[in-house]
Amino acid sequence: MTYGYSGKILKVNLSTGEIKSENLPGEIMRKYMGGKGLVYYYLKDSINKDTDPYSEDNPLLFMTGVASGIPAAGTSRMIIGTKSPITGGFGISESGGFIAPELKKAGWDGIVVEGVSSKPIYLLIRDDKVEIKDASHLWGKGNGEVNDIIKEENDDKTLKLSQIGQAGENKVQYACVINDLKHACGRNGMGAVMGSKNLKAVAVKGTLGINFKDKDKITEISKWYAKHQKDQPLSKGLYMYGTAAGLLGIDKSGILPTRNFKQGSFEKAEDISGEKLAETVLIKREGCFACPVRCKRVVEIDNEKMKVDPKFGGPEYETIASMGSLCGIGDLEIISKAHEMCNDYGLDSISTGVSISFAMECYEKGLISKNDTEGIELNFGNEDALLNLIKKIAYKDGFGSILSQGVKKASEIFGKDSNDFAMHVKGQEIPMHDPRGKIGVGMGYSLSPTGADHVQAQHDTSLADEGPILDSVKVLGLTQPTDPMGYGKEKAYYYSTMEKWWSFLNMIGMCDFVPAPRGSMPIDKFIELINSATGWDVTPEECMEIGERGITAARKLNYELGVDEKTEELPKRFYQPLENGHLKGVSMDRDKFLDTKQEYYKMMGWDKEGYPTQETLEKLAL
Amino acid sequence: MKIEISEIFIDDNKLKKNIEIELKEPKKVVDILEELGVKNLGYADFYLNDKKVKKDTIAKNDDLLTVLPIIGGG
Repeated sequence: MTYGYSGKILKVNLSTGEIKSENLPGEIMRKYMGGKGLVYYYLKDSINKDTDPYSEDNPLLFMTGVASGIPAAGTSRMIIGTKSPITGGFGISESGGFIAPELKKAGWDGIVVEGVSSKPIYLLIRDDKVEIKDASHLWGKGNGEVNDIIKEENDDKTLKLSQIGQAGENKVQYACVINDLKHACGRNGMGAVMGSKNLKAVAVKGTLGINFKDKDKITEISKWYAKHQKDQPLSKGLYMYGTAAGLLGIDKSGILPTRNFKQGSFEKAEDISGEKLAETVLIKREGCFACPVRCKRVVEIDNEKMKVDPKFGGPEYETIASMGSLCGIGDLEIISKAHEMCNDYGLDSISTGVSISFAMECYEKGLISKNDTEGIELNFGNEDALLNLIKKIAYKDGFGSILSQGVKKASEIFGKDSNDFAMHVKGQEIPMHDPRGKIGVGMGYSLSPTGADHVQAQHDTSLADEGPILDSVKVLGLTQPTDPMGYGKEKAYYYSTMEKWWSFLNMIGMCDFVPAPRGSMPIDKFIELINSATGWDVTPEECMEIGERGITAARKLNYELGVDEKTEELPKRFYQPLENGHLKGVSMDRDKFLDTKQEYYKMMGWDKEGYPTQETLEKLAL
Repeated sequence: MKIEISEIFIDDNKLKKNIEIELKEPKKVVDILEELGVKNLGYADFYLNDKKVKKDTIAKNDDLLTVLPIIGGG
């Protein structure tokens, strides 16, 4: 008997209609533990440099991890993987919610979707009963309406759904997969690949349950955490103000992305803060599966000017900043509407906001005019333009079709010097954290296998001094504070250590907000939780090795796909000074940054070109 | 001096979000806050007159001190 996982993968071939169960050997699960590890395992022999991400040769993977579904906080993560249409390389995107635990309760550790359906379909999974259902009547509809219809026609309101909206159908490059309308696997174009397969949704109902080795211990740890989690202010802040709890501090620190990263402070920051959201549009706080943190927002607006449906939840920090300060917009009602539209159409709100913000700067610089924008006055702060363009992007309508390709391709179309402020790495738009004030985040943007990404490692701003946060990770080997704006060996060591830990969390299907250092569960207690579920004897050292394996595996595959260190360049803007705020005049030092990356390569056992050495590959059994 | 404290650091009913105190002599930020009974300062960032400062920065009576959660990311 297996504990914490079933050892079964569902394989569905949409070209042939074949549905089968495949065994997942125990040694593979112990080696990769789930998440991006299993994505690598199932992708590595399926794709190559020439594979078209939208072809039937590119599988779409829905993976859980050994933590997913443990009845304890933070165990909700679904990791979707494929060859990314954005980067052309190893692609993953993760979210919380309920569908990953539901899939495991249905008896599956993951789904491998192969081929392309000849017509729109959706998958209906009820335990081991799996059906391919016609979705012709759902094609062209938004996520909200489709969610209602699928539940109604299957007479089950408790179904959990992963879906694409019109953006995925239209293969908008940064279309996302939305889970239960509120939780986005936002990045890397997962929705576009799902759309290319004519797969409108995956609906899951699980009743079989999951075997755990020591249920009493799990209950004990879970109760302890529920009682104590709010003792830690960051955890309490997530409950009170959501992920936007830090927005005011980010603004005062001069690193709130504003007007396409020209500025680091926004004059209307208070108007879009987590505190203001709680005072105005918030109607409810929600959590993911079994999680007492409840960092999710639910907003509702119903007035003469605006209606926002609470069934889509509410905007998180990334959406608030990308649709707000980045576009010069300081109105939470507009931002909430933009959030609702992105979730209904199935758009990644980060890439959408960055693309619109980029176009606003191009417009203000005179690189494009009303003739290009179909009459839209595209100045920063134009709220109507923001909402108008979100719809145009989802439908690839007119000017929206250019922005639907992301800022890298848009800058090639707009020309002149627009590439200097096209904010992306590997074609993926930059999230809402300015690395000029936290170099470690710049490391993550550059080194992430999936392009610019902000969840590669705990941000260095929180590890700048001695104190409880640093104390919490000493067990992982990080014992010295890191200067957020420092470079060199010390920065490389901080980054590689924290990256391995967060990589491990991704692989087991765990939310970063629960275990230390970002969350309040001590690492030893957290590892006890994993061992109680699996019956394993995992140590912190093994966790770090698993995390390292995930990082190195993704890198190995990327190099085989042609995505190498030449794709790691940060946008030129980060090497130019911020225009305002606490860090006015501050820029990154490119030479020091590149030297720091070389130090990191050495620590990871990679060569000067960033490719893992043979010794490293053997050490990690890759 | 005026002090603004994020509500996530307020567990005690005696503490308020906005406080005004008389500082007889310049003092370290951390000392001022500990004397007021603010806990968990290892999870806080400090701003004097909207400028980010370290916890041992000296504050004066005419300063505005703001206490916000440390930037964690994710």
